[in-house]
Amino acid sequence: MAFLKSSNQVADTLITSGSTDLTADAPPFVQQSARGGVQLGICLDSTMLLNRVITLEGWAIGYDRIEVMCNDKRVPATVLRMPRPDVTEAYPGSAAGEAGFVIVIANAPPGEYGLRCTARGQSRTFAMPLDLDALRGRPHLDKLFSRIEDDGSLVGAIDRSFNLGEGGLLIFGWIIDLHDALQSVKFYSEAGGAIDVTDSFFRIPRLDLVANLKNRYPQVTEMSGFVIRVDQQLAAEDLYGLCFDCGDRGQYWLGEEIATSALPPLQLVKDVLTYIPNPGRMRHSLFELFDRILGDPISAAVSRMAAPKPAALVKQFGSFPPEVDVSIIVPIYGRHDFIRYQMARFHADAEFTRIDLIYVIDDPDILGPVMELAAWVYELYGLPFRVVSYNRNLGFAGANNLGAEFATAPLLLLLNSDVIPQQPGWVGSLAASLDDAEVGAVGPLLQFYDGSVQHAGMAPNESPVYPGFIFNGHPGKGGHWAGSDEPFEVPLLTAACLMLRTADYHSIGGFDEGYVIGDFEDSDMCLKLRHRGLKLMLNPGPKLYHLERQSQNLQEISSYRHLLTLYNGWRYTKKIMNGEIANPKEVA
Amino acid sequence: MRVAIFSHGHPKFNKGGAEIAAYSLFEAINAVPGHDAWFIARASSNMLHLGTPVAALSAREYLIGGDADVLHLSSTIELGPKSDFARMLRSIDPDVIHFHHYVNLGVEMIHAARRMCPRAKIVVTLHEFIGICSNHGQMVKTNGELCYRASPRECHNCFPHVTMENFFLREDYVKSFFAKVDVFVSPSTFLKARYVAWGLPAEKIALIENGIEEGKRLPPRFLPEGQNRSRFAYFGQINKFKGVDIILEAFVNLPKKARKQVSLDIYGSSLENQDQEFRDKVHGLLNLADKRALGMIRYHGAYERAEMENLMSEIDWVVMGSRWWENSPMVIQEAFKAGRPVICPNIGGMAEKVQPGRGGLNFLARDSVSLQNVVTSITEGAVDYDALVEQIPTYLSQAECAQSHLQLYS
Repeated sequence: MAFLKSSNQVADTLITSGSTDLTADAPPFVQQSARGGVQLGICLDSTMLLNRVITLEGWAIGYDRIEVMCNDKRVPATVLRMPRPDVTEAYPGSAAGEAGFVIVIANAPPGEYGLRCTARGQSRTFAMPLDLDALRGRPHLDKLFSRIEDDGSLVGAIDRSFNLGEGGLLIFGWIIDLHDALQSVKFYSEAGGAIDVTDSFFRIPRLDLVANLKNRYPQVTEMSGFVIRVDQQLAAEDLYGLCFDCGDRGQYWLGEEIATSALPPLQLVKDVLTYIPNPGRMRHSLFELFDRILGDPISAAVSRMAAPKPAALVKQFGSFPPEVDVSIIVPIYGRHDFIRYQMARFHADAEFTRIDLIYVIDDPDILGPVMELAAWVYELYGLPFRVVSYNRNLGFAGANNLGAEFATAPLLLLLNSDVIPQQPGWVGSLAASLDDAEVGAVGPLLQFYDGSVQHAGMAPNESPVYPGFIFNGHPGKGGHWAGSDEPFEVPLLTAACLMLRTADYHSIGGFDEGYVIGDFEDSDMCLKLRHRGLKLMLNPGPKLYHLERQSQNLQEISSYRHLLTLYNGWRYTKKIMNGEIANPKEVA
Repeated sequence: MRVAIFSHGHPKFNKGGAEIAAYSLFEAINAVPGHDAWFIARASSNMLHLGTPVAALSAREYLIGGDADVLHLSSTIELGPKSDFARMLRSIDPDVIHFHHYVNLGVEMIHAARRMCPRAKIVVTLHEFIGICSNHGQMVKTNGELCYRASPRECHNCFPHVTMENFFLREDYVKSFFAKVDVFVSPSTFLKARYVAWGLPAEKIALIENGIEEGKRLPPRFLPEGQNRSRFAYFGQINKFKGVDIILEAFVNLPKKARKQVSLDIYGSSLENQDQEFRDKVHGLLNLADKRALGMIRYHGAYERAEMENLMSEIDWVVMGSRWWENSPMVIQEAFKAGRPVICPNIGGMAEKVQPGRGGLNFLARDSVSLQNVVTSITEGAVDYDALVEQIPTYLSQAECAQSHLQLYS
């Protein structure tokens, strides 16, 4: 309920006749009776235009009927009356009763408005100049809903928005623009004012809308979903509005509260990517989706993760070897029994007496079981090794970077836990390839358990299904290995098993931790080495099994994990395009 | 020579064929002057003391803990140089460490034994196919079909909840320990061939038949005038793998004339431990047999090994029905010792030990009609029983078996 305008103002005002304009700024019109009491009065407290609905609030005394006129014709309107004790108190003795009113004019046409007020059979029309354009410019954010349905023009809703802090705001929703009239989209917030977001309004598929609304709105298409990026840091719990301008068909407003951004960044990224409704229906435009909308906000959120490195604990099993040639870093995440299988092979390889073996537990949830297993395998084999642990999940890149800080040997071997050697002597064979100063990194032949090729070097791969992305291809994957044992140069190597000089690793800054969870950081590192003119070699002499996790099948995007891979792919592609790392397509 | 024999169970508590064979070897070696054997049998933790996986039953017999399941075969006790396991082994100070099995014990024990006693020879006896097959080591698929060759893909088809990669890891892991074994012992060429196909070097697998207690060959059962050689008996565990139901089906469905002549005695235990469906099937067949010819089939339940000679003296044939390959079934050796021909399926270790005319007769594995035909041919006089008895091979005594092992050890 609006506050009553100043009673002084009311008391001093005495208008008995003549036409006057009703506006929200004007004082009340009041007519006194002969005995001095107020007989008739009317006042407009506020006017609001929202989604082609005009809402008038005010009070009237003495009038038993109020009608809305437009261009001298009555227009349909809903008039609600309610008590206004403040009015009753200000005008004692008047027949105030239910003085308050709220008048709602749906589908309000443009024109000259007035209120026709009738008392005891006598009518009088007050002009009510409404500047619709001016009203449009002033959204009432607290009056907005997250859903509108104007079956003449526009139906839609905001489903969810994500506050990515410095990464701005991502708004997911849908609209059905029944007459294809949408011209622009603006974003309003209390603190930031208006921003035109037409260019960052991105249509996404919504199969559910087609399925559920086709009968009511035959115009609905699959691409009725949208995601909007607002590139501005916003205060949590502020209100915001979206204005869809459909020209002559009017403006439509949706609004919501800005969520807090208290979630951990990775969870936030996961929530955002999980929210994309039907990614499999928009493979052709996913690069653009990341490039225009999602990529930068995710990068901003992820950069918060890079925050201070956790304090690591190092547990030494056995005594550290007097001399070491190679430090091996094996990150452990989730499944830890691979340690058992790897150690069954490592301990039987004499080279491991000169190896600095470091397991990095990148998963605080398995710390206890891993330490127990580590103690058990040390007891069984007596092969010394270290376990580095900390209370975080840093991802593949972060885990390796942290582990590498403890590496003491001149050569560094990055190894996945699901890589199992076939023969002893493989570490020395790999190291031999680095005798050549022009070689920056070397990897072995990796095979699936059945002997077919898992990795014989990687090459850039552009998929016609996902235009825009540069992926990593595995030439020869799944095939029979028919090559010789002679090392050969390759465009890229996997980090599932990759050896390089420890000094090089540190000087290129290790793995780029901006890739989330683990993808592309290996090819990124390869391209950093190539940027320095170093060669990458595949040495197929040493052969190891790689029981590659089968989670990265790009043919079937159904989960957030696949979209995360695509985010990483977008980021990788951008770094190549910006010249930050070498271009893998340029033959070395 | 000092020999430490590990067994996956003690026959005092588990009367399996492999446990008995391991214990017999222990006894037989101790009976040879100048040789000493120790017997170390795995036991479940409820049979052990608090705070140690080792429990000495006597100066020569120990229990050892561990719960290595069939899928992982991984030991659950401490095996380091200061462990109770290591102290026990070092106190025995063996020249030979003989694992008569590795299930329950865990394959890592092979490495620990090698590490604690670097000069000792490591011997492993292969029984069924547990290193190869997770389905109780039977090499029978979970859908019931016979398996001819295991692979991670095929094993995954049997156990869809276990990935191919995990089956690969199991194989790689077991092989990493088998690589530390000096010599394997297989009681049959069939079993050896399966392990060779799986990847063990043939030259590392010696063939030694299971030894059994010495005994005399019995004369053929006294045959009253007008009777024929139609008394059959089954000895052994009663479960699906052993195929007692196949034997029952064959006898129940014999022609009426034959039913009046034959008898079948079932000596076996653990029917009560089988699932309801199998128990119902066996009971159903026994009831049906009684309806068709009262007394034709008699179910006796469990028997003691010492009774075997008496029981065998009353019958003409030993019959087997196993659905799986078998390795070298003890019952065949027992039958040979007693001079009784064996009728068994024509696969695996059974077909190796018994061939038509040499040791008995075969029928098509898993086919009760085929067995029925063999029985009918006997009742109709088409089989020369005396000639078969003449051709029954000899058996290996425990003492001979111990001698073969001592030769292998040195």
